[in-house]
Amino acid sequence: MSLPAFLEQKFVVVTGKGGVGRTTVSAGLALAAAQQGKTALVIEMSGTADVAEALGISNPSFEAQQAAPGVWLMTLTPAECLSDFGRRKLGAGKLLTRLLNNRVSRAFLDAVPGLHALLQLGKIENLINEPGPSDRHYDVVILDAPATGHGLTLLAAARAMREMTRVGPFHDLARVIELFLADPAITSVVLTTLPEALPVNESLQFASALEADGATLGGVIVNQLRPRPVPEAPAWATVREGIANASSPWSNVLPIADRAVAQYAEQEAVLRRLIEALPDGCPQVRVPRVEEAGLPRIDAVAQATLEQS
Amino acid sequence: MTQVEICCGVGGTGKTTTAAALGVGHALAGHRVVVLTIDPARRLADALGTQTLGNTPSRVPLADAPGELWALMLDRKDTWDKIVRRFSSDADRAEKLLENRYYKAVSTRLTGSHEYMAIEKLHELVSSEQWDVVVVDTPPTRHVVDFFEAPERVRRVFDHSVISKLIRTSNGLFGFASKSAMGVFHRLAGEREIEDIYELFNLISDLSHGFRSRHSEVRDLLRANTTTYWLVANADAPQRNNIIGFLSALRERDMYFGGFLLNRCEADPGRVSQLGPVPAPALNSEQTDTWSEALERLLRRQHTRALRHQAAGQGLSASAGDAPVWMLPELSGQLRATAGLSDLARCLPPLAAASISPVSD
Repeated sequence: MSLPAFLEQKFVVVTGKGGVGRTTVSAGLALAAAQQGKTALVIEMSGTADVAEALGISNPSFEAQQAAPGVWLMTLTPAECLSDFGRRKLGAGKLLTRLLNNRVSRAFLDAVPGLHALLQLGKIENLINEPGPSDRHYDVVILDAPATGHGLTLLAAARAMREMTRVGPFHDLARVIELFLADPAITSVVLTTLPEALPVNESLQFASALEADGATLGGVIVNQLRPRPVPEAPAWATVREGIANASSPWSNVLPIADRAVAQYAEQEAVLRRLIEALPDGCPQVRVPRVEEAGLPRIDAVAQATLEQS
Repeated sequence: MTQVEICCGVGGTGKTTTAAALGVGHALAGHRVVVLTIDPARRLADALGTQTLGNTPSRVPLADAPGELWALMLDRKDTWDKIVRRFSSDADRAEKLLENRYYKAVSTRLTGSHEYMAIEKLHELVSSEQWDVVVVDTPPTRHVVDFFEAPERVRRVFDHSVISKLIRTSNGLFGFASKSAMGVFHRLAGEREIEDIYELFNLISDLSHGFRSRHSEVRDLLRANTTTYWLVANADAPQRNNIIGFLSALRERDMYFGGFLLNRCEADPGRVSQLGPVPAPALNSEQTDTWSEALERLLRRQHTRALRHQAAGQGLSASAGDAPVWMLPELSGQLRATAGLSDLARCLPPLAAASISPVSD
């Protein structure tokens, strides 16, 4: 049992298309790291309580909370990250309150595209590179990142912000974040996918977008792998014929097995395509399908991560 | 009156496919229907088996349908540019704004602009009075309520009083509170950035009247009694947390909730008992054992999953005051053009009655 190389980094960004299980994977990776003696922090950007609920935390907050031995959880809302950034740049006090409570400046800040994500990343960078006296030390910070749907990587968002602003503290922040995300000694990007055609297509598009941005893929997590549904030999078609010709209670199984066999064939084809397209030596974690949601799925990710090839 | 059907849901629940099937269902029911998607990943085009979708509706051929199915894919930049041209007081100003470097960088990326553009396009389709039904596939968001909040968020950016305050700030006249807040903002954002944004806001300030009057029309459209909201969910992960937030957001805004569209539900093969050895002459006795075991396992698993999905459907219904739930089967293999969609459509409103009757306590 050992950790894949990407979990030896300080910052792991877990991405993937909506619905592939990014949140479950983030929690599972943290659990794996903790089982190898590390202290891991999972960061939620969205404020949905899914991961917290699975880890038994009822009120996730900006203050890190311990979910399991070695596993901590923190939720970064844009508003709290903005106050935090303001505090670091302006010091606590009236000035900050004035900025945050003022309608004009609020409308302004809400409208700046990408600023929210940038402030959230700024908080993470700060936590890793310049933790305050009251901040805990984490060996690895795992970010449950937004869906890859819009084709924009976080890295590209930071770059766009830097180009758009040209000077000022937001510009400086964007530059810091860009370097932070592109530094292979600190950050690794991990892609979560399902063994199905659409998610894998989008994953491969994302992997090449990432490469074009000058970053490398730290690893791929293939989630919810189906087990082989029927024996390898003889072929299903042969057995099917026998069942179809007999009138027996088995006829119910025909459409179910047809679909299971087709899905498994698609899965195998998709996995082959994925392996061919990924760079040599890119770590792969294959997580078996677990019917029951929540903790059992998180455990499955942790186990698969520790047993990865 | 045009009927509007809005498919909401978090990413990965099969919203686009469901919206497409809803469109097919309306066409099969004899309606002239248009499906609007925001998805840049071409999933609607793929699902409908058409090559390309543009920013204007194109007809999707559908055999044996008494109605008509049309579809379009939102082009955000095009839609924004149209708004600028429509709301500007004169053409010169509009062109100047469209050429503004900052406008180009910002317009399509404003927080909430995806959703706003979708709503804007919806408004355009309804106003044309050409359609019986408009089906909207909403943009993927993590919070389903983001969709309704978009008009308000965008309106705030273009709010006349805010903009005029900003302009007056740059001219050195304005109230103490905002002035000092903007002073703090200067320190945070940097002088140059502020200047750039002032310039942009200055240019767009004459759009604000148009935005404001459009905002109230859009708000009326979103809460009209001809507009129905559907929540698309995945049978394996119904995500209760999101749903409760979504429903209370609808209720607060006086919007009509049609029910749940629960995707990827298994059909129940029934309890497995007394099957005996599998009847396949090609198998020897050892193979018969392993095959019987494997096939029985498939049946059992499907039965368990089907029961779980039934329970999920009932749970959703109960959590929403006995709202109806439509259970949609998982499509086998790759979605094959409109044939698979017709099958799905038969399980959906308007072709099917809700497949879960309200749970009584």
